[in-house]
Amino acid sequence: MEIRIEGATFAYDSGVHVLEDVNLVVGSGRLVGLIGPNGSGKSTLLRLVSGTLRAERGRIRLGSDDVRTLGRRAMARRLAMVAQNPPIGFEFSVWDVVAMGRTPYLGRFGRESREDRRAIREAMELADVAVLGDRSIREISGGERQRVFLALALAQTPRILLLDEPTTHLDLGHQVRFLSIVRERVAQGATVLVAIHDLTLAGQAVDEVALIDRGRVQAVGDPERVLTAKNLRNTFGVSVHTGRDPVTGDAFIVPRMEFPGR
Amino acid sequence: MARSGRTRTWLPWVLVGLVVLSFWGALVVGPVTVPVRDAISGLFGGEVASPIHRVIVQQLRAPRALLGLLVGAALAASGAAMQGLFRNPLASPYVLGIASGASTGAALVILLATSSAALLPLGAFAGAAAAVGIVYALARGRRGRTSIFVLILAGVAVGALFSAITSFLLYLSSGGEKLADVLFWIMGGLSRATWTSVGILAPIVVLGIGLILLFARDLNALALGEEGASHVGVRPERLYRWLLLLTTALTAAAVAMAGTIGFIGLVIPHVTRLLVGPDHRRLVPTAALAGGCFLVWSDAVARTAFAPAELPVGVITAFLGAPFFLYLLRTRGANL
Repeated sequence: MEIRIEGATFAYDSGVHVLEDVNLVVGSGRLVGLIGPNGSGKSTLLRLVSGTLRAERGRIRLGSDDVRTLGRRAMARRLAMVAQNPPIGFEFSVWDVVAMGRTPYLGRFGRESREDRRAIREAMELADVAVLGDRSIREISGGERQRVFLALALAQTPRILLLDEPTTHLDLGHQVRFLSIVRERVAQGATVLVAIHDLTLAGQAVDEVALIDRGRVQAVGDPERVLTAKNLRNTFGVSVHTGRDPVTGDAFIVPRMEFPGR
Repeated sequence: MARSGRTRTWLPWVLVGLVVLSFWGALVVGPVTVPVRDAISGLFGGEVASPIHRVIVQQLRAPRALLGLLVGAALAASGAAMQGLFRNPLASPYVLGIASGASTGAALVILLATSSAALLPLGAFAGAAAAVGIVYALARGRRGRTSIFVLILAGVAVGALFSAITSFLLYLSSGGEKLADVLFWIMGGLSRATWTSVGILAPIVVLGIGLILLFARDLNALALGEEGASHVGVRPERLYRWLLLLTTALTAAAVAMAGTIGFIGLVIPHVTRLLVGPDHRRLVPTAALAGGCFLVWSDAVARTAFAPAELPVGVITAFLGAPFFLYLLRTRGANL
C-alpha cells in the first residue's frame, strides 16, 4: 500500500514550522529511509503519517484513503509504528505486549481467536522473541525489547510499517538482524518508511533515501545518488569519505574526523 | 512459547467462594455471636434459636456485610482502573480530590442540617462530584486534550482546598457531638448500612464495574503510552473521559454510603496485580472481589475489637493496609 505525502506542513504549538511543504511518495512494497539531522522533522513526519499529528496543510494518503478520514482502528489495521524507546507501564509479559498488537481486531469482550493467536506467534517468531514469551517486559535487555516492539507491530499484520530510529540502541548484530527482518517484510509486500541515522546501514538496507533538512525534503532517490559527500556536507555540516567495499561493492560512508589537537 | 498471563486462573473462583464465606462469617461475628446455622436460616426467615438473632442478622449484619462487599469492590476496582489510567502505582480512587470533596459535602450536611440521615449521602456525593468536576475542567487544555500530569496536580490542589474548607467548617462548629460525627464520617465506616443503601449502591457498583470492563483491553494498551495506544487503535482521550466518569461515579457512590475509607483503593489493586498480573480484564474483577472481602473482614475486626464500642473501619484498613504496603515496597519496590 502506497504512502503519498502531498504538501504537508506542520507547526507545533510554539508556532515554529517543523515541516514545510513536504512531498514524498513511498511506493507500495518499497523501503524508504528518512535521513536528516536531529530536529530536522523526521519523527514529526512519521507522526503525521501515523495520524497521531494532523497536518496543517497538505494531504497524506495511505492507498486511496486520506489519513484524516480513517478511524483509529481502521488505521491500526493497515499501519503499525515502532517508536523510539516506547514506554511500557506495569510488568506485562512479552506475550501480553505482543498481543496488544491485536487490539484493533478485537471486540470489547472478545478473547483472542485462533487467528489472533497465530498472528501473535508468527510475529514473535519473525522478530525472534518467541523464547521470551513468559518473561517480563521489564527484565529483558534493550535489544530484546526493541524486537518485542517490532513483534507487536508485526502482530498488527500491517501493510505499512513506520520505524523511528529502530536500530539506535541495538548492537551491530541486532541492527543487521532487525533490518533483515524488515527487508523480509518488504519482500512480502509491506511498505516501510524508516527514520535512520546510520548512513552506511541505510545505504545497504533501503530502496530509496529521502534527505530531510530544516523541515523540507532536500533530495529523494537511489541511496548512492542522494548520499553524496556534497549533500551530506550541506545537511550535516561534516565532510565524509564515501567508498566501496572492494569485495561486495557496497557503498560506505565515513565521517572525516577533524578534532583539534589530534 | 508458553501462553503467559494464564497463571492462577483458579484465583477468581477461590475469591468468589471467599466472598460467600466472608458474608456468612460477617453474619456470625460481632458483639453478639450468632450461631453459624442461625446466621443463614435467620436471614431467610427460617427457624432460629432466639428471635433477637433474626433481627440482628436481617436488619443489621446482612445489609452491613453486603454494603461492605459493594464498597470494597467499588474502591478496589476504581483503584485498579485509576492506576492503569495514570500508569502510576500511587494512583488511588481519591487522586482527583473525591475524598476531600465528599468530606466537605458531608461536613456541611452534618453541621447545617437538622436531620442528616437521608441528606448525608447526597451531600457527600455532590461534594465529590464538585471536586472532580473542577479538577477535570482545569485539566482540559487546548484542542480538548487532557494532560495526565495537570490532572494529578489539580487533584492534589483541589483536594487540599476542600480539606481546608472542611477544617474551617469544623473550627467554626466549636466542638460538640456534630464535630465527632464529622470526624467519624471522614474516617469511614459501615454503621449506617441499611437495605436501602445496599439497594441503591448495588446496581451502581455492578453496572460501573461492568462498564469499566468494557475498557479493560484499552487500558492494557494504554501501558504503551498515549501514542503507543493510539497506534493500536485506541483513542486515549475517549478512554480518559469514560474511565474518569465511571471511576468517579463508583467511588463517589461508595464514599457517599460509607465515608472515606482509605487504603483499599491503593493496596488491593497492587496485591491483586502481584497475584494475577497486570491484564486489566482479570485484574479489575479480581480486585473487586478481593476488595469486598477485605472490607468485610476489616469491618468484622472494627466491630469486635473493642466491643461494644465500634472502631471506624478506615482505621482498621489503614492499620492492616499500610504495613502490608510497606512490606511490598521493601520486597518488590522496583516492580510495583
